[in-house]
This record gives sequence, structure tokens and C-alpha cells, in this order.
Amino acid sequence: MSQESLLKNALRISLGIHLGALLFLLSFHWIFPEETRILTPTLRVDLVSLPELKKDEPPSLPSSAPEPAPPPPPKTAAERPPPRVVPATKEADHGEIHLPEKKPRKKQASKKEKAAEKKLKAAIARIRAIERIKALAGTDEVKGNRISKGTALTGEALQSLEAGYFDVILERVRSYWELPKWLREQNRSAKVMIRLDPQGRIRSFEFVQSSGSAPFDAEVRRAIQVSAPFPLPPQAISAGISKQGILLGFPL
Amino acid sequence: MRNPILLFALLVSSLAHAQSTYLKVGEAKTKKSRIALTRPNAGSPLLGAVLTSIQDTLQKDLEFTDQFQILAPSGFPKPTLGSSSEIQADAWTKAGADFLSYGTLREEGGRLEYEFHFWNTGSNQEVLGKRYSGEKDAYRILAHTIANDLVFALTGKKGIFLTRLLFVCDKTGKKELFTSGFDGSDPRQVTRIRSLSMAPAWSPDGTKLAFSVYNRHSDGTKNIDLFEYSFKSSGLKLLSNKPGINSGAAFSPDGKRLAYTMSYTGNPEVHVLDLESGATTQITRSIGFDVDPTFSPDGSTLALVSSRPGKPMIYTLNLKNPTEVKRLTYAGSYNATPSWSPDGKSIAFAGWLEKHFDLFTITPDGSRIERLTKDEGNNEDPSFSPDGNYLTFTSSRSGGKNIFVMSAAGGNVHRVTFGMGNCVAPKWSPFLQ
Repeated sequence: MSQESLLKNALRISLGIHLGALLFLLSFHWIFPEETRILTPTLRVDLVSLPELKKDEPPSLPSSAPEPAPPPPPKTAAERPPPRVVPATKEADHGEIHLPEKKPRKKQASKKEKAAEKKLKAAIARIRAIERIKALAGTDEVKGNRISKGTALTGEALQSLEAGYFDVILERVRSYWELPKWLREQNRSAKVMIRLDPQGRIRSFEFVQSSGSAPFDAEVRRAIQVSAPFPLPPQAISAGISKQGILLGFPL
Repeated sequence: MRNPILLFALLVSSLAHAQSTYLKVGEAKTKKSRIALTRPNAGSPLLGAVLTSIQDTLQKDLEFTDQFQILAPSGFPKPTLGSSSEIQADAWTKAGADFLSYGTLREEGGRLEYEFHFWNTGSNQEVLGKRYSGEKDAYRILAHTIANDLVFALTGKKGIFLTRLLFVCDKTGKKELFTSGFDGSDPRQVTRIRSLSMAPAWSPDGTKLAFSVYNRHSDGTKNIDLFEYSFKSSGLKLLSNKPGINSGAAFSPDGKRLAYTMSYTGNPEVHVLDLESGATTQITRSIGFDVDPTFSPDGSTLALVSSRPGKPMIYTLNLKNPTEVKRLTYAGSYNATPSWSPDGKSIAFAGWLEKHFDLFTITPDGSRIERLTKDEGNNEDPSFSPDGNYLTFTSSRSGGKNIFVMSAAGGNVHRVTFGMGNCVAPKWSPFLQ
């Protein structure tokens, strides 16, 4: 057998073996499919160090006010924006760079000044006109020709007024609301109804819900008594505060 | 009205406007209660001196809590009171007193009779009114008892003023057990073994101690053996002397079991000894060492130190199923000596951080760690007071090693031991009778 035929035989045998192996692997995969991998949720644990701050220690603050940011470093030639090339004047030499003149800005500023002056003049004229009208109204009042300053507020204005006054009351009572630790740990609560007269003084004081502890109730009473008198209630809400009262919850 | 819907709407609107405004004041700021301790008339100079001692002790007890401030007598409106009818609450309130004490002290049949009253000037009510009787030289116990009664009357919880601390000191040249009052008063030497005593623990009823001693056996070998000491008999009883370590004992809350470490198997492991039957059960089996067990307040769980992850860390272990362990600490390089708080909500331990041991607490589920000490030398061996409000611990902050107490939040630190050499391994007693 010639060497060529031997080589051909060897190639055929090799090809046969490889095809056989491939078929075997494919059939094995079809017969025994790979098990499905089930991904289960995992718990991620962050390994942190022991706390550096004590339980009652506030986070450290910078010892002084933060220093102002350093001025930006001078730009290098490469970073600098390209200089604006101004057309050379007749007198200028070639290659000489001229900065733009500031005359146009001056023109803008003078325009603004003129506008402001105009506005100011208009405002003065308006004020003078109002004064003339007031003077006329004072001397020659005609029924129905003036607007009353009003005595009642409604809607958002009233709510805003109430909220502002109640904030003042809360702030005042909170500043005097103190409990000793042993009493605070008892987690008690009380509700008190107060009614104020138009001068902001307490007209009536009533425990709607006692805490069940005489010392706690005494601290509630003290906080309110020391807070009074309160600022004058706005006229628009004075009657409501006097009649319906304010219910204070200690703590909730 | 033609339109009933409009009528209804107006009615609802008017009702809404008739309602008063509700304001939530919020949580109160914390303040100290100010107390005026008035001085009763003492019949004799001797009684006067006793009275001074009683009031000094009472004042120190109340100030120790960091919740009370004792007022100077100079501002009192009427310094001597005999009965509640003489109290002018408003005058005392104006003088800044939230509370007022008054009473009478007499000597009857060689005994002290102290009638003590405590009055809330804000609510104008008596908080405590009681007659105390005791030996003349027991004035300190009498004062601590009054302080305990005051705390109970105000908070509904027992006071710690008659509890004691147990610790190991080397002032004799050897390491012996000592006890003292919670404030370091009345120190007493418990053992005179002239060896190395270590790792003591109180029994839950406070009548016995368990501790280990570096002991010489009859065959000449030395071993760390576990003993029990009885305060009643002043006697020692050997509990465990297997070869190697028998140490780090902790009583179960019912006093029937003792958890401790033995190393006779070749590796330090936690065992539980049944004190009635004498049977021991091995609880841990790990490649690392397992030491410093402490029972949870309900007795179901142990907290302990295990080096199974390569570094000593705090673990909890379910005693019903000892293979059920939970690693609590992951941070730090060495965490040791856990102590379970009486309410079960916190475990205090010493952790190595920044080249020092400092004290930390961790919740039993491992969710929250808080730091209690910082920049004050080494701080180790924490042990909770029975009310859970304080901790005793070893610290090197004053040079040498001494015993200190502080609030469970890490404040109000007091030194307890003075001139007793190096003192370590403190354990706070239970409430004592």
C-alpha cells in the first residue's frame, strides 16, 4: 500500500472517530439534559467596622468654617481660550492683538440708568397722585366712594393667620415642656383644652384627658401656666380661640 | 331652605368650624427633678451626726442616678417641717423644688427610728411616707433603703442602692475575690485562697458565687478548677476539676444550671452543668475555642465568644438545639466577654478597636451596634446592673486596672475601686434582700 493510500485511510478513520464522538456527545446531551440551575435570592452582608462614635456622641463637626475654595489655578497656555482677534486698525502693526474696547458696555449701562430713572419718576408721580386723592377724600368724603379696610378674612388668608398664631403658641409651650427622665419613661399622655381671652391670657384650663399620673399632669399644667400670657391673638381668630379653644396634646 | 343638600353642607361646615384646634406639643425635654432635703430636728449631737450621714448617703444615691438634683438649703422657705400641714407647696415650687423631704429622727431603745416623708410640690401630693427602724451603725443601709423606696415610688422599678459588685483584685499579692457596694463603699474580701482566683459569677439569688482558681492538686499538678462559694457558710465546694480549663461560669436565671468552659477534650468548649444531678452536657463543638457564656434572661439562649470564624466573635446559641448558632458580630478583630441585659434587648461586649478594648452593645439579632466608651484606655468585662440602667466594667483609664460603673448609655462614669491593686472581671449582683 502506497503512502498516499495509507494517509487517506488514516484520515477516514480519524474523521469517523470524530464524527462518532460528536454524535455520542449530542445524543448524551439529548438523553441526559443538563439540570436547570435554580437561582435563589441571596442575602448580602456588608462587613462594617465597629462604630467609631459613642452612643451619645454627635458626629464631629469641622473645627472652623469651611475654607473658601482656592482660586482656580492659572490656566496654561494650552487651556486658555484663543484670543479674540480684532481687525487691526490702520495704525496697528500686523500681529498685534487689541483687546475689545468697553465702550458698548458703557452704552448699555447708561440705557439701564435711564430706564431706572424713568421708573423712579413714574413711582414718585404715582405717590403724589395717591396723596392728592387722599387729600381730596379727606376733605370731600362722599358716601360709598371709599373701600373699608375690612374686618373679616376668609379662605387661605384666615388659615394662614391661624397657623401662624398656633405656631407661636406651640413654640412657647414646647420651650417650657419638660419631664424628668423617670416620668418620661412611663410613656404617659394628656390632653388639655385652653381658651384665651382677647389679650392672650388663659380664660379657662381643663384636662380633657388626664395622664393618670399627678406628677405628669402637674408638669403639663406648669408648662402651660409658665407659657402664658400668650401673644395677642389676631382679631380675626380671637373669637374662635376664646369660644372653641385650643386642644393641646402632651405629647400627642 | 330650598336645597336640602346645600343645607346639609352648611351644617357640616358650621360643625367643622365649631371644632377646636388640636395642637401636638410633642416629646418633652428631659430635666432633673430638684429635691429639697430638709433636715429634721435631731435630739442630740450624736443623732445629728447620724442624720448627717443618712442624708449624705441618700443625696449621693439620688445624684448617682443622674436624674435628681439636690438643692442647697440656703434657698429653702422654711427649713424645718414637722408635718404635711406645714407645707406651702407654692413657696417650695417658687424656690425651685419639685420634691421636698421632711421627717423626724428619734432614738428608741438603742435603735434609730426615722419617719421619712417625700412630697411632690407640683402635684401637692405625698410620694412616700414610711417609718424606718435600724441599728445606729446601720445608717448606710437605712439610707440606701430609703433611696430604693423613693425610686420604686417614682418609677415602679426596684432601686439598685443595696446591690453589690463582685470583682478580682490583687492588692494582697494574690488574686482574691472582693465585693463592694454599687458605689464602691464597704469593700470586703471574700476569698483568702492565696492563689489566682478568676472569672467570678453571682447566683441569681445572690447567696452563692461560682469562680475558678489556679489550683494545685494532690499529685502536684496545677489546674484551673471551678468552685462554688456560699455566703451563708463561707464554704467552698468543688464543682469541676477536669484536666485543663474549668472556667468562665455563668448561672442560669433559675439557678439550676451553670454554663462554663472546659478544655479536657483538647479544645475549649462550652458545657452546661446541672447543679442538682451533677451531669454535664457539652454544648459547643467547633474548631475554634468557645468561651465566656452568658444566659439570656429567659434561660433559652447563650451568648458566647467563639473563634470558629478565625477571630473571636460574639455568637448566640439556642440551648434546645445547640447546633443552631448565630454569629452576631462581624466587625473588629477581637470581641469578648458578652453580658446580656436584664430585659434581653441588648448584649454588652468588649471589642478591640484602634489598639484598645472598648465597650459596645449589640441587639440579640445583631441588627444594631452602639459604642459606649472611647478614648479612655482599655475598657473590658461589662456586666449589667439588675435594673438594666447601669454597667460595671474594668478600665485602665485611671492607670492600672480598676472597676468603674456608668449608665447603660455610656455616661455618668464613676470609679469604684481605690487602693486595691489591679481589679478586674466585675459582676453586678442581682437585687439583694
